[in-house]
Amino acid sequence: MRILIANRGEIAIRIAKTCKKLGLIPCGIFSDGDKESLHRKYCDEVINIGGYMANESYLCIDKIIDAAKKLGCEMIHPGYGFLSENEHLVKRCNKEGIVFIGPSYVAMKLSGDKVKTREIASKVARTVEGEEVENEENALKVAERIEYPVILKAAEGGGGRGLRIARSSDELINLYQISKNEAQISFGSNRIYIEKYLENPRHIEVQILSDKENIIHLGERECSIQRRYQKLIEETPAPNLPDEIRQDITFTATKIIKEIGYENAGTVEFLFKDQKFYFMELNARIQVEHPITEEVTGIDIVEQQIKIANGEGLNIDQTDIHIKGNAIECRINAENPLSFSPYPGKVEKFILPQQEGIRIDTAVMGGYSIPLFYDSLIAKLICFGPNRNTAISRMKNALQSFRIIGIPSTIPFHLSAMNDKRFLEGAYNTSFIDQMKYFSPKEGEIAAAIFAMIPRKITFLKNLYQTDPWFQKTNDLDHLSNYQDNWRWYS
Amino acid sequence: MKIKVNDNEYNVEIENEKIVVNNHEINLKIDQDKINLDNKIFYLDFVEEGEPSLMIINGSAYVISKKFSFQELNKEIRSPINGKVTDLLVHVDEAVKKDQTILVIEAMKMENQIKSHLNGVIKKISVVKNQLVKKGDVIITFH
Repeated sequence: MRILIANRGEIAIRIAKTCKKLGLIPCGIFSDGDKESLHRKYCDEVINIGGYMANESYLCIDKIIDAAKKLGCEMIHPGYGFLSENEHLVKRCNKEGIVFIGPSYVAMKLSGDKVKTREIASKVARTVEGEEVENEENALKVAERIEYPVILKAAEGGGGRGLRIARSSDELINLYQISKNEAQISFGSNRIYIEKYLENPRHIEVQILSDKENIIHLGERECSIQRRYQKLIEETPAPNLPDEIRQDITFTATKIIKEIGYENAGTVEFLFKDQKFYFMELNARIQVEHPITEEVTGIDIVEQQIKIANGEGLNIDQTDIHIKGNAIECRINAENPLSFSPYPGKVEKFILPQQEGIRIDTAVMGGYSIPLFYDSLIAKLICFGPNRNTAISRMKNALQSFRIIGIPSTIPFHLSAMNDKRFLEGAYNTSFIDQMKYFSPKEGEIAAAIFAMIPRKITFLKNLYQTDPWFQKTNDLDHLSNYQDNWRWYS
Repeated sequence: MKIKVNDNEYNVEIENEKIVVNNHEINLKIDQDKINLDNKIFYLDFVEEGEPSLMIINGSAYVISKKFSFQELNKEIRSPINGKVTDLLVHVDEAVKKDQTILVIEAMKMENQIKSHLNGVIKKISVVKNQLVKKGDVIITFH
C-alpha cells in the first residue's frame, strides 16, 4: 500500500520511517523551496508541487490530491501544521476515494470550531467561563459578568494565534475590533469568543487514540514552557501532579473524545490551576511533541493512526499501556537564543550528540540551508530515562554536545531551562520564561573572552538571501501580493 | 585588553605565544574554533559580530563587549532579520520613545516587533509595508 505524506521536514521523515516499518510505501511532495530537503530521500517516490510559500505549495489541496493520484497512493497522512486540521482536505479525500489518516469530516469540522467543542466538552468536563460574542456591547457585557482579565480568541482559530488579553473595558474596546480583523485574515472567519483569563496556569494535555469503539489514553504531557503560546519544552509524565488528578484528567479526556465522536489520534488540551483542570481545546492531528509519549509507552502513534484509518482498528487497549520512566523534548529552533528572532540561513555543520536515552527527529544536515518560508523548528531533541533526574542530566549533556555551526539556535535557552531551579523541582507554569535566568558557566566566559581576541577561521553567516536568486526576484511585490499567511501554528 | 562577557570583566593579554587572563597565564591549545582550556574543550559554534557580539559556546550564549561606556549614538535602525515588513506603525517626523514599536517584520511565521533604541524624531522611513528586507538593511533614520 502507498501512503502520501502531505508534509515536509522532520515529520515527513518520521512518518516515512513508520511506513517502511509496516511494509508500506511512503511517497512525498516537495515545494520549489524544498528542493534540498532531506525528507525527499526518505520517501520512495516524490513529486515536486512547485511554489515557495506554504499557500502556493503545502496548503494547496488540489496539488496534494493530484500528487496522490499520480503516485497511486491510497492514503494521505497530513502530519502537523499545513492542512492537517483542514476539513476540506478530508472532504476531498472522501470524494476521491482516498483514505485520510485522521478524524472523520464531521469530527474535524467540529474540532475546528472552538465554541462548539467547548459546549460539547462542558457536558463532561470543567471549562473556563466564557461565550461567543457578536458585537462590542455584547463583549463588554460578558466581560463584566465573568470579570477581567479576559482573553479574546478566534472561534475558528487555533494554535495560539491571535490571542489577546484585556484587563479593563478600555482595553477590551481597543482589542475587540483588532481581534475580529485578525481572525478574519488568519482563519477566514471573524467569529470571536471571550473567556475568563487564567493567570499563569499550567498547560497539560492528554494523548488519545480512538477507533470509536475503543478509546484509550497514553498519559499526559506537561507543556507549560511556552513563548507567545508556542511550546518550547514538553515532558511526560507531568511533574508534581497528584495521582488522583492524573487519573481524573486522562479519564475526562477520553470522555470528551467519546462525546465528540472523534476517532484516530488526538490531543485534549487543558489548563490546570489550583488543583482544577479546565478543558481548552482538541487538537485533531499528530502533535509535534508526540515522541515523548512514544518513548515512555513504547507505542508508535503513527502506526496506530494508520491502523485506525485503514479500518484495522486499535490492536491495544488501556491495560496494555504502561508508562515507563520520563521523557523530555526540547524544540531546537533556528532563532537567536536571546531575542528569539528567526534566523534562516546555512547550517555549516550539524553534529548530533551520541549517547544513551536519546532520540532526535530532524530533517537538517550539514550544508543545508534552512528556508525562510516555513517553520523555524530544526530538530526535536528527546531524552528519556528511568526517572526524571536521569532524563534531565541526559538532556543537559546532549544540549552541550550538540554542535550546530553556522546559525544560532535555541540550545542556550534549553540549557538554561535545564539548570533552572523551578524546572529541576518540577514546579513551573506558563510564566516560566518571564523569570528565567540565562545559564552560562564561568569557564565558558573565559573561553569567550579568548575567542574574542584570537583570529578565527569560522565562517560566519553569509547572508543567504543576498545571494539567493529567488529572494532577489521576489523583491518585486506582485509576486507576493497573493501571499496570505493562513498557516495554523503548531502547538 | 578589557573584555566584558555577560557583565563580568576580563583582562586578556596576548604576549607572543602566551595568553594571560586577569594576570593568570592560561594553558591552552587553539585548534580553529575549538580551544582546549585546562583540559576542557570549548567549541565556538556561532558568532554574530557586533557591539556587543553574541557567541554560542558548548550550548551556552555569551554576550561580549569590547567597548565599555557604550552609548547608543546610532541614528539608524537596521533590520535584524530577513523577512517581510507586515506593519509600519510610525510616520516621518513622528517623535518616538525608546522601546516604542516602530514596525513589524515577519519571518518564518513569526512576527518580530522592531523597537526604537532611543527617544528621537523620525527623519526617513526606507521601507514600505509588504516589502522584503534583508538583515542589516537600514529601515529607519532619525534626525
